[in-house]
Amino acid sequence: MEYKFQPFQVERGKIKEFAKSLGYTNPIYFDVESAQNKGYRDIPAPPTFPTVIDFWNDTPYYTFFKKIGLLPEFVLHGEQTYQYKTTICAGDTMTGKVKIISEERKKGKVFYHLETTYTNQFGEIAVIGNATIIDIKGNEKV
Amino acid sequence: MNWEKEYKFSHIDLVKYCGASGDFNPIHTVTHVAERKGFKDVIVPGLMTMGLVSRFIEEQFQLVNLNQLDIRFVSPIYPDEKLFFKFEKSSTIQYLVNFQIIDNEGVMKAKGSFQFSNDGEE
Repeated sequence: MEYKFQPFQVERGKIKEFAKSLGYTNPIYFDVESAQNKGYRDIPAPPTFPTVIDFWNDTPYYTFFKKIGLLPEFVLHGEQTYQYKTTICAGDTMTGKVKIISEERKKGKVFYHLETTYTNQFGEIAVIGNATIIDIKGNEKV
Repeated sequence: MNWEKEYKFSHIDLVKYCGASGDFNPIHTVTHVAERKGFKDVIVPGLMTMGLVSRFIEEQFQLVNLNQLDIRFVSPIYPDEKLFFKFEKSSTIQYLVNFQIIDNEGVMKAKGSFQFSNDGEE
């Protein structure tokens, strides 16, 4: 099964808010000139920014969860890997595609292995995310 | 190149992060929901912990080109807990750093690694 996010516009203000919420102080996240002086096209997104794309695009993770029968408050995050190919910058339009790689039932829980590919407007894959999420109610209806 | 960071998340940090990231799973912000699920308080979003790791990496290096960042969430992290982020450069693999996050009692909270390619060695 494959699920597509709605194209997501990466904005400077969103990067700033996200970087601030993690306590970043590096000016490349707040000031275009500082970013360009370091060789970036525009303000770069911090490494874990793909999570913003997951949750703030118009068909977010929650819609996907619903589709596969998951209730957010029963979902835990087990593992996460990001592979970085090219930097995401403000001004980019990102598309995301989630695939369920596998699904395992263990001790009344369901472990989903998800792979998400984030592609920019140039058709380049920017980031590949691999996640294990755990449905602690074992995907039974409650 | 081994280093350590001490850190404590506050409740308000979680609120800010959840708003910014869009992670509105109530177990991160609504105490009674988290308690109903058997947690003693709201729990820090995994990706928020990972975000802190990414910030600490950046603060350690002048310029870092991350190729990969991995994390396994071992046990729940709560606000106001004193945490130690311990980074240790791999002795066998170049450009690989392993890390662990432990609490005051030595309980493992998360562990992982990152790989980079760069000229930014401290």
